[in-house]
Amino acid sequence: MDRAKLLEEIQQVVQQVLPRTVVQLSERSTAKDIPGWDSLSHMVLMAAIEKHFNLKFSFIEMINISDIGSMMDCIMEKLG
Amino acid sequence: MSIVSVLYLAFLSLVAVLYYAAPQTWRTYILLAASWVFYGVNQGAYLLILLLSIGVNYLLCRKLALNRNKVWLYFALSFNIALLGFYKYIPPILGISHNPTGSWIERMVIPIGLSFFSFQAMGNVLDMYWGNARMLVKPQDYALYMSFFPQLLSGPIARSKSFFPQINTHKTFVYEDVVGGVRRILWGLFKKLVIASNLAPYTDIMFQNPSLHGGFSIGIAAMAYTVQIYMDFSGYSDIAIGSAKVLGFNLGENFRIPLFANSVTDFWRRWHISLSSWVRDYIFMPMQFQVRTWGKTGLIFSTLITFLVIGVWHGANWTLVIFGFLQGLAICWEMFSSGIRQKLWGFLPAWLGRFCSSLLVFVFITISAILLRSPSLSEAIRYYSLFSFDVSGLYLGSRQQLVFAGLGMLLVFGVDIRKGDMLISDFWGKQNTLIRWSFYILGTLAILLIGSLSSENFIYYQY
Amino acid sequence: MRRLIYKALLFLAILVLLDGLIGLGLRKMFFANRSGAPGYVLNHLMDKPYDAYIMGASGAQRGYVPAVLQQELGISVFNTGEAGTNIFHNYAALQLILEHHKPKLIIWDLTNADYYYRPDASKTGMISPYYRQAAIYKMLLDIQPLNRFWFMSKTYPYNQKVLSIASTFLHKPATEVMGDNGYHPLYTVFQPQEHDNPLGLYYEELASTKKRSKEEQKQDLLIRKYFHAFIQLCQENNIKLIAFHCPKAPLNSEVASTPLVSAELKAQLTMHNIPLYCIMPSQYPSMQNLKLYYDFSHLNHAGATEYSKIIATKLQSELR
Repeated sequence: MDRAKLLEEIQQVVQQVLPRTVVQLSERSTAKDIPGWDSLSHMVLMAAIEKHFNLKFSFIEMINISDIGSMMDCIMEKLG
Repeated sequence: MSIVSVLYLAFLSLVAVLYYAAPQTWRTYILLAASWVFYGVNQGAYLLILLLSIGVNYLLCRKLALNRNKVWLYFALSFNIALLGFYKYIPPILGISHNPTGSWIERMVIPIGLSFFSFQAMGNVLDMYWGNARMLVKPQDYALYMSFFPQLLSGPIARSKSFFPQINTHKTFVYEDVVGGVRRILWGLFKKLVIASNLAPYTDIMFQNPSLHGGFSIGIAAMAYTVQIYMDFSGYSDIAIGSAKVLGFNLGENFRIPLFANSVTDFWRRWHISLSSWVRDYIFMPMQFQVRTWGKTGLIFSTLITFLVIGVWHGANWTLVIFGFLQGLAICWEMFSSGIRQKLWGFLPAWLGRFCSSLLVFVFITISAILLRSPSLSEAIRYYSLFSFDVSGLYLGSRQQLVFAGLGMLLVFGVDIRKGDMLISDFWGKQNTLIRWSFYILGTLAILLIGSLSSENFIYYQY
Repeated sequence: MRRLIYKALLFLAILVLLDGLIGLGLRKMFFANRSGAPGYVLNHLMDKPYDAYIMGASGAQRGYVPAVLQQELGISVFNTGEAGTNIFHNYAALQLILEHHKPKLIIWDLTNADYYYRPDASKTGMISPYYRQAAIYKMLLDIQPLNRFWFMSKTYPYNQKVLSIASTFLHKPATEVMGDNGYHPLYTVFQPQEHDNPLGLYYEELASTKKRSKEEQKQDLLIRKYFHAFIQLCQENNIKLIAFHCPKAPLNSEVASTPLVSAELKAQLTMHNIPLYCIMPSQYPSMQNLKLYYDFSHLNHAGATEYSKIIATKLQSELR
């Protein structure tokens, strides 16, 4: 999967979990730039990502993901 | 030696002079010695508990660093929870009240700062286990992390990730840092002595004997109490953070204008931040990780548990359990009602909507703060039941002290509104010389003239 | 570093200057005040000599009517009682009186708080403006060694009194205090049902004199130093010292008959030949009427008048 396609899919998942977010995501978007992505919704979002891509993150990986770029790296690594 | 005392200021100045005069290699030891002297002066033989905690926790950290085995993590967590439980929770649960001439268990008091340094120890060991900070630091650095005197008694709770790197960076005397720290200490003293201590006699009378002055006075006293704890605790934190700054250390912020929060969720991101972010990272997040597939149920579950921990952290009392539960409930409600609330406030002009939501949060916090203050649940319920909108026979305590506290609040809240999320030392730093110097001089004179000093003239306070 | 020191010195210089100026203004106003807030009661001691002084805390201030005593005894009487104080205040008042003249008699409203340290009964804020008096200064340092530092500030002695000092100075309220010679009457009647636990403090105090923690014992030593100094000062100046203990609202038979004066304190008085009269409602039926009380531990004006008549007869027999 190329990064552009991945970003698009992530955008869909984020839109689903945080319906009021109408931000166009980029690799540089951080949690701070995305309304609604806070400590309360973080794990819910991660769970949705896990489900969508059918993979599992460890706890350490999850808490270290704080922007879209690091999330993409992590997913790419898992998907090989 | 209270941190709000002349003796403390003298102590801090002495330590600062020694610290900057000494070569780099001595500095950790100077701070360590100062911290232990400070603790010993305050708590006598209980210093041994602090040393025991440092020793045991460090050994377990070393084991964990050599061999990343869950056993060491569990040992460390159990040790800290047991220590906390023994001093803080067992006596009230068994119904043992403090009695200075009673048996050994009755004579026992909670070592000051126990809740803070135990949480620091647990935070550090979890960080090590999770790999955020796997490196083992030197024993003297670990000891300083656990006992750094500005934050030893009441926080802010330090985090290993930001504290350890600061210990061995070479610190030269930076004028801006030292002056910034001093400014911040003055601000904290002002909050405590001019506002909190002038409100305290009034709230004491009202909470000790609420039926004497029922009606609307009950509500005013409860609001005064909310302001009092904010001024008291944030003032204390200002002094702690300022003292650390004088020594070249940056501690995390503990309060960011919480009384202007526009939701309870927002309030807890601004109130006692070092505690709320601690429970977020070490309790809420791991729990959420476990239950992340449960959806909303999981979110409610972890939120409630997290806030129960915050409640019980304050002590062993049903009032505190309910306090935590109420906060958790409010936050859950806010999570699921954000759409409705946005529409509701949307009808109003933005500033009015903001004002109304802040007011609601203030009222909610005031209602729950009664639980923090009441010695028992029945007392709290009685306090609630005495409230009415009847303003006849309104009781406001000493009018003089009310005026003093009011004047102080005008300044502090005025500055809070102006500065927003800016740091207070930066705010004063940005003002022109005349305003800045007026603050130094008038602030000090205000403490001398209207600060609550003389009523505390007896032995306790100034030490 | 040098910059910090220069600025700190400049700050200190401005502070000392302003502190001195404001302190001077407050001092002038404070010592010109004669009426209004009870805090000015000690200012009257320098105005006019009296034959006898009532000394004590709020119990004295609210319970001893100089007019009644003057009428019954034919001597001039002034009430120096001040709420929340103890023997420290009495000692300071006596030192101020002795600067001008020697009274004949001191009517001492005695409580356990004159002999056992109680944080809520050890206010010294009213004494601090008189810190220039040598003996008072010494006592203030004994109470709080750091006062040596605090009194370098000229505004500190008037800490928390600014508003009262300025408004009294500007408005000059009617000389109520002079009119009744320091006595501050209370007019409402005690409603025990409005209080949560009106007897709580009574039993707390009864128990607290029996059990003293190490910390309390240390503070008791200081208070006793001035307990003895006060008695000695009276004896050296040939002042007759007579102690009274005023009644609490007799909510049960124990309160009506048991004074809050510990056995050890009684023994101390006997040792120094100081007569003590505990006017307990169980022995004085007229004091059993709850309408004579303002709250659990204070008499109202009707009660104070009745009580003052009783102690006047005791004083007559003592002075004869």
